[in-house]
Amino acid sequence: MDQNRIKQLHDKYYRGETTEEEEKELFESSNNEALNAENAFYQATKLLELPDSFDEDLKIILHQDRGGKIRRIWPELSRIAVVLFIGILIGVLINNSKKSYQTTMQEVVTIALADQHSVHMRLKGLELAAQMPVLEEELLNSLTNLLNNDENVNIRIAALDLLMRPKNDNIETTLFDALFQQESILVQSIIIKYLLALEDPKIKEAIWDKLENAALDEQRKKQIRSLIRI
Amino acid sequence: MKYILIAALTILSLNLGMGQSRQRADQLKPLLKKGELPLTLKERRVIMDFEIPLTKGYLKGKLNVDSKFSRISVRGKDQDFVAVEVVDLSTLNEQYASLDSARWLKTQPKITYTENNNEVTISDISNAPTGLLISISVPNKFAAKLETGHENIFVFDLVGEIEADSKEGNITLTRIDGSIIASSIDGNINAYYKDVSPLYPNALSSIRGDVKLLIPPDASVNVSLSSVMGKVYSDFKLRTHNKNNTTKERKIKTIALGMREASIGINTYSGNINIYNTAKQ
Repeated sequence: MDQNRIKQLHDKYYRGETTEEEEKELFESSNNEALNAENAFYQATKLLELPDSFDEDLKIILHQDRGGKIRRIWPELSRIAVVLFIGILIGVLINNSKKSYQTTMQEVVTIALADQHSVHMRLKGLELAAQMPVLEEELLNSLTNLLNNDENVNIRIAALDLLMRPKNDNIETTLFDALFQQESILVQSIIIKYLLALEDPKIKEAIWDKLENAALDEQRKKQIRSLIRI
Repeated sequence: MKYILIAALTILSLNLGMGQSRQRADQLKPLLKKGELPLTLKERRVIMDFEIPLTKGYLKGKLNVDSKFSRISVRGKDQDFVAVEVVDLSTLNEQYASLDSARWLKTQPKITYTENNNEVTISDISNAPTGLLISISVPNKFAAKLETGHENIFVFDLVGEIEADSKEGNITLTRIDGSIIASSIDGNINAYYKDVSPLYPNALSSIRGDVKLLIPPDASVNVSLSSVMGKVYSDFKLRTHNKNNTTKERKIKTIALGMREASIGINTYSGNINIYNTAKQ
């Protein structure tokens, strides 16, 4: 086909005046990409052409399976949401249970430490407290109370060891005060060891000064002085 | 007829229920007994038994002995009662009996007792050395709290929690299967474990007395020991570390046996600490 004929058909095509035969002739002979693409699109739309019974068929399908694909997506989304919700819930519960476990442990330990009838129970309380990652203020106060007032030396020593474990800003004051509240030289000697380990350059002098006026017998003062020198 | 039957059954069940609660109330009513052991110059020996009500716990009861000037001996036995025998040791030696009569009259030993269900308390309230031995046998699963000032404490074959304190007296605990918390100022503490209970921790401390510990090699225990001025010996391998991992803090030595389920802490000031393997003794 010559170029003039193609041009002629082309112009006629865009004017919308071509017959079916002419269009066929035009597409077969043309290398025009735009036309070819248009033709392809046209053919595709013909394939997608809905049958006349489409509306009726759709109504039947919708009646059988309400929502179709959209309905099928919802269960997936809700399933994901449920999983997420359970995950969040578990996370919250674990976190809360950790907190409540710690709280329960703190309560159990505090009760055990206050058991005046059983020294075994108090020592058990101290053993449990040693396993706790954090000692709350109330528990630290209980330990200080045991260090200064418990009737049993073993309890005082165990409380002292435990007081030294957490980062406690008041530990030096606690130990310094406790030093002069002890009857047992054994407990005093351990307190001095811990006080010296804090490496406060003024601590020796402070103990020395307080020792001068402390209500202790001379023998005990001498023992404490020798411990400070060590 | 049907209603009469229902009413009769209701009344019957109510009566049964009330009867049971009355029975329980009777069982729970404390059986409090208290008094003074009838020690006389002539006899200078007294024996008294205390029935121990049956209990479902692993321990059958508790014994408390508080004595400043009398020796205490407690022995666990396969029995369901507590037997207390107080004897003036001088009566066992005729040579000194007459001399001790004068001492007896001067001291006038006085020992009281209290029994409250499954807890027996013996108190020697004498105010001078008595020369008495308070010897007590208890069910072998029994707790004991023993306190003495100047005399010794002996305990044998007991399963349970033992608390023992003395000022000058020695504390000797033999074939113990349980937990011990013991402290002394000038007395030695000797503890021979048959087994170490993980139920409660153990702690032994003496200021000037020595602590001697015998433990079976198959025990599952962690022993931590520290002495300010005393020496430490062990049949088992000792490890040294600082209590809180700083350089100047007190040094603690430890012995780890088995799974380390139980724990024993030992502290002395000038007393020595000796740990022995019972298999080698």
